[in-house]
Amino acid sequence: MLRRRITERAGWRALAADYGFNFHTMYGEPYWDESTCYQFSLDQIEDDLEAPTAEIHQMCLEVVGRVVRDEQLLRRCQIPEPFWDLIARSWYEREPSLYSRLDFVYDGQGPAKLLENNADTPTSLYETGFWQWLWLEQQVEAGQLPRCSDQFNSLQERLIARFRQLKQSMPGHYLHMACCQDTVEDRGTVQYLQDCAEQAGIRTRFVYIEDIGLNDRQRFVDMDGRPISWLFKLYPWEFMQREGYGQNLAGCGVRFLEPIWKTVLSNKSLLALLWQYFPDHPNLLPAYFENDPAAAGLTHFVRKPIYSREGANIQIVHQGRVIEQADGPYGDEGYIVQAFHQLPRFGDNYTLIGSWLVDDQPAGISVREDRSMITQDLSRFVPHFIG
Amino acid sequence: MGNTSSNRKWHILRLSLRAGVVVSGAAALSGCGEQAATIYKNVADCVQGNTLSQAQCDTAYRNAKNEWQRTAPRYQYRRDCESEFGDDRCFTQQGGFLPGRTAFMPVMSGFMLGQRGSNSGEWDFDRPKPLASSRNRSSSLYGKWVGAGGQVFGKYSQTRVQVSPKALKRLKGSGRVLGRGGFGRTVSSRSSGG
Repeated sequence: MLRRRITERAGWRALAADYGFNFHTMYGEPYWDESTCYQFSLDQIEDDLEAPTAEIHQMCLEVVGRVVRDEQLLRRCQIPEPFWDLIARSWYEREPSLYSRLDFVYDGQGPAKLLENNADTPTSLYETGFWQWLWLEQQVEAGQLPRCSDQFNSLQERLIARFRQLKQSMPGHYLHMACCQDTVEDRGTVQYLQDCAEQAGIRTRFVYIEDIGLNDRQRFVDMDGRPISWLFKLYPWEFMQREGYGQNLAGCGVRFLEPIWKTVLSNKSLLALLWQYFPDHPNLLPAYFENDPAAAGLTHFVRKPIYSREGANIQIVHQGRVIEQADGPYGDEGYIVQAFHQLPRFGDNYTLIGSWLVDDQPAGISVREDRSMITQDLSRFVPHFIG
Repeated sequence: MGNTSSNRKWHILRLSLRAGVVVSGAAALSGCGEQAATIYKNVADCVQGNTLSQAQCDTAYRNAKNEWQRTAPRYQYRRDCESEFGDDRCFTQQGGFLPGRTAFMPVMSGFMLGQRGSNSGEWDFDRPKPLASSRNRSSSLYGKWVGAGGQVFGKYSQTRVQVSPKALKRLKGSGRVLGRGGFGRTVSSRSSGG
C-alpha cells in the first residue's frame, strides 16, 4: 500500500460537470483529490480487505439475529420499543438489503481493523463506483498507470445486478428514492442509485424526505400524492423512528431500502457486541459499552455516541485526557468506547479505507484522507489502483 | 373472465333475514372497465408470489379473514353449507346466524387483490377480497372462486383474473394528502449519510 503522486487528468473538472459530479469540491475544499492515489497489491486487497469484509459482515448479521430477539439488548442499543416488532419481523422475513460500507484502519500490513459499519446510509457511492473507475480507465489510457492496473471495484455492476434481483420481488412497483433537501452530495448519491436501478429495469421516482406526505389511507405519498410502496431512503432509521411520521411506519405498507433491521447495524453498540461475541477477532478492536466495567481497562480509546454520523461527537481519550474531539449534536443515547488504533499516516494525512458490500458480497473500496485523526465529512476522496 | 352472477340461495336467505341488504357486485358487463386481480390461497402463496412482503401479505390475509367473518354466507344447517362447498368445508359460528343459534359458514380459501390504480402493476393489499371455493362436484360452484356475495371470479386453478372495479371494496378515504413534513426534521442542513 503506497501513496503516490500522479498527474491529474487534464480537464477532469469539465468532465465531472458533464457527468453531473457536482460535489468534487465542497465548502471551498477539494473533496475529490486525484493529485495522489493509493497503490495496493492484489494480496493486500484479497486477503486483507475483501475476505475480512465478507466475514465481518456475516458476524454483523449474527449480532442482528441476537439483538432482535433479546429485549435487554434492544434496550441497550437504545432502539425505541415501538419499533422492536417491526425490526424483528423485518429480520425474520429476511427483508432484502442493498448495500453497506465497513470502515477499516489498514496500513498495508497486518489485519485491517473495523472502525465502524455504515450499514444504513453509506455515501460516497458515486465517487467509488463510477468516478474512480473512470479515473482508472483514463489514467491507464493516458499511460499514467501501467496497462495491467486494476481496481477493487465491482460496485456498479453489483448494484445493478442487485437491483435486478430486487425487481423480481417487487414486479411493477415504482421505487421511490429519497434524500434530504439542500445536500448536493446526497442528491448525487441518490441520482446514481436511481440510474443503477433504471439500468436494472426498475421505474423510479424521486421525492425529498421532507416532502413525503401522509394520506387519509395512512399511506406515505410523494409530491404528486402517489402512494409509496417501495422506498430507498438515504436517511437514517434512527431519525425516522424519532420523527413525526415514525408512528406511521408500522401500518404504512412500504418496503424499505435499507430495511428497518439495519437499525441494529447502524448503531455503534454493534462494535461492543461484536467484541463480546467474537472476542480477539483479528479484524476487531476491543470495544465496550461505556458503562461496562471492562471499559475501564482501556487507557487509550475512542468514545463514540451510540448514534452518530460523520465523526460527530467523537472523542479520543488518552490516559484520562481528551486529546482530540469533534463537536456535534449526538450523544443523548449514550456511548461506547473502542480501543484507539492509529490511522496510518501518509505525509500529513490520516487514511481510512471504506470497504463496500452489495447485499453480502464485497464490492470494492474507497480511500479517504483527512488532516485530522477523526475522519469527517470534509475528508478527501482519493482513488486507488491495484498494481 | 367476467363476473357472472350466481343467484345463490343464500342471497335469498340473507335478504330475507336482513331487509335492505342489497347484493352488490353481482353483475358487471364483461370486458367493460375490467381490471386485473390476483388470487392467493394463503399467506405463503402470497409471499411466494413474490409481489408483496410478508408483512403486507399478513395484513391482507388478516383483513380478508375479518371481512369474511363479517360477510360470508351463513347457513342454518350444515348440510346446506356442505352441499354448496363440500364436506368439511364449513365451520360453525356461534350466534352468527340468529341470536343463540349456531350458523354454518364456508371456510375462506383464498383472497383476491386488485391493482392500486389502473394498470399500476402494484397489488393493493389494503383491499383484499376474501374468497371461498367449492369441493362438491355436484355444486355449481365446484372448482370456482366465489366471493361472499356469490360472485364467481374464475376457476380455482386461476391466479390471475379480470374483475369489475366494483368487485373490490372501495378504500376508506379518498387518498387525500393530509400533510407533509413528518420526516426530515432531525437533519435539515447537513448530509445525513455516513
